[in-house]
Amino acid sequence: MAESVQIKPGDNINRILKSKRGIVGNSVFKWLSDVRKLNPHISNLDRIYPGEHILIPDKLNEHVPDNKIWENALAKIPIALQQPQSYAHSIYFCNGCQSIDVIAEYMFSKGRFHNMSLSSKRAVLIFKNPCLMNYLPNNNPPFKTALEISPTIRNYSEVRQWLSAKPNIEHWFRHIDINLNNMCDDVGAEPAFTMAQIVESLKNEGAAVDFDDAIKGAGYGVAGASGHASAGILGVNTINGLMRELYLEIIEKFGSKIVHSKKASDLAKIQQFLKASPKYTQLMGHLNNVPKHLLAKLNLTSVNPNAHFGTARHFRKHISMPLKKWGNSSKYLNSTVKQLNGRLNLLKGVGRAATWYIPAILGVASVAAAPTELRAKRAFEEGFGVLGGAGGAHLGMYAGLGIVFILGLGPFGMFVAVFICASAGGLIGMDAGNWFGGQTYDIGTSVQTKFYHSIDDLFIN
Amino acid sequence: MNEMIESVVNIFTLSGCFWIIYLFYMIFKVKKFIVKRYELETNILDTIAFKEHAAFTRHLPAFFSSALYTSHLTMCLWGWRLYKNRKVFRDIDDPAIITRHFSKKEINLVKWYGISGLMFAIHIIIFYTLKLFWPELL
Repeated sequence: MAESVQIKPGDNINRILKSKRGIVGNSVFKWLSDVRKLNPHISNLDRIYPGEHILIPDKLNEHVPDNKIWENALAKIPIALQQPQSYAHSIYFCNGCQSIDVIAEYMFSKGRFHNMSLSSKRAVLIFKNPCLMNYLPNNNPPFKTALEISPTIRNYSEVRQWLSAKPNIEHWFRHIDINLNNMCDDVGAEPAFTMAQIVESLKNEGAAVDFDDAIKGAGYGVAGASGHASAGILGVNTINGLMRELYLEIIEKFGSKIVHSKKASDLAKIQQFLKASPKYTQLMGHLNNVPKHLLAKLNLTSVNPNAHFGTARHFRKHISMPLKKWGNSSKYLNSTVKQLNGRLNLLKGVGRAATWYIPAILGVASVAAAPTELRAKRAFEEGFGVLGGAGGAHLGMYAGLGIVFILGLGPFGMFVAVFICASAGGLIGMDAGNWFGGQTYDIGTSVQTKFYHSIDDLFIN
Repeated sequence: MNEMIESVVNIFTLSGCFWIIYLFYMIFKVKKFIVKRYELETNILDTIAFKEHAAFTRHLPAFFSSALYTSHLTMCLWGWRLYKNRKVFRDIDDPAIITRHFSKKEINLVKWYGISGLMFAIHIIIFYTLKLFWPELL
């Protein structure tokens, strides 16, 4: 069975292999490969330090159970670290440039265990994130790998729970928004992931907010969403919904001017109103459930329900101002579209029919109804009419959007304006196309029936 | 004189037919990539122009939504001086944010679409002007 050896001053790996297993010469390299696999907590076997434990196999390719490996790797972990510290997960997204050692150091950079040896830090990190075993040879996990880095040891069932959630988190992070790549570079992966969730939640609610609005508008929701992601205890929709309801209430009660005022007396009025509102208590209750380590990032160090003045200020700054945009019509239009969902294909079908099928059927009917000698000309007219109508409608929308963007209309105004432009363009285009088609047929007929001596004759009579 | 005018009208007619067909061809050439690029391959629809103003665009049939996308792209190519200070483009500092998603060939197609649309529009205007002031000619 593999043996755990404690490093003494002056030891090196070759000397240990020689003394314990009698290995010398080139066969050392084969053994080193096995020793590396059994000691994930050691990043470099050439640099081992007194007090560290190294597991030495009895023979080459020996199968050593996982619990034996981790028992050895975690042998130097302080007892205090093995007590439950926090149930909140702290998620870290690798940027592709940081080694496992750097991440392990970062993991324990704050708190009382920062003086722990690197091998112990590595052991905890790799134990909690078994996927890192795949990256031991180059010591560098790939970009956007999600790691759980809360500075505490977990038991096997908690690790399994995290492993089951990890693929979904990674998939979501990669999938949601291309902007996340830039944001991830700018502010780090975890806030980017949080933002992704907020944007997604707001979109699911039917709100039309852009990325920046979500960052500002979510306010406390940032913590809410991150808490939701890491601990799974908060519904960001509840927090955002409560914030919005409260905002609408104070707007209704005091009016926009007072709500957005900077005067202390106005803030006091809002504060008094908020104190009395059951929704505010409910909101504070949700916010109190947010893991505290996330609040620090937002400089919202306190969510004490008694600290109303500071909270009211935050409320106005982080919530009220951005959320005033929610009143615009895009929200309602998107809601309408959401309600129509499922019937949109029908509407699209109507659109296609109005553009193509109905004009084509009417055209064919018109050609069929025409006298025999005029059928060819009518076919030309109707054919070009359909082409001209479709092109005209297309151009109408093309030009309509340009005009409407200058006016800066909202979605409903734009819909009406573009619809009118498209319809007008279609009718005008159809009429013009009809004429162009008929005239072209006439020119073709005259070319067919006449013999021309020069190109000039083509256009004379 | 009459013969010359008739010749000009005939040239105008053939030119109009040519531009109708060419515009139609360009519509489908542009539609082939622009809808996919705007709706699936990029996040352009997350800009304010499409979120707060043209929010319905993604729900239109591709034939029509391609017109709006092409128009938007044209604003970033040719009309930026006119549109840069408009409310709808307040989240875009540089038109390259939009145009960088398209290859040079695709940008040229969009430009030719604009040119053919303009030519067709000019023909329509001339047609209605003649119809209004000189109906016997038509």
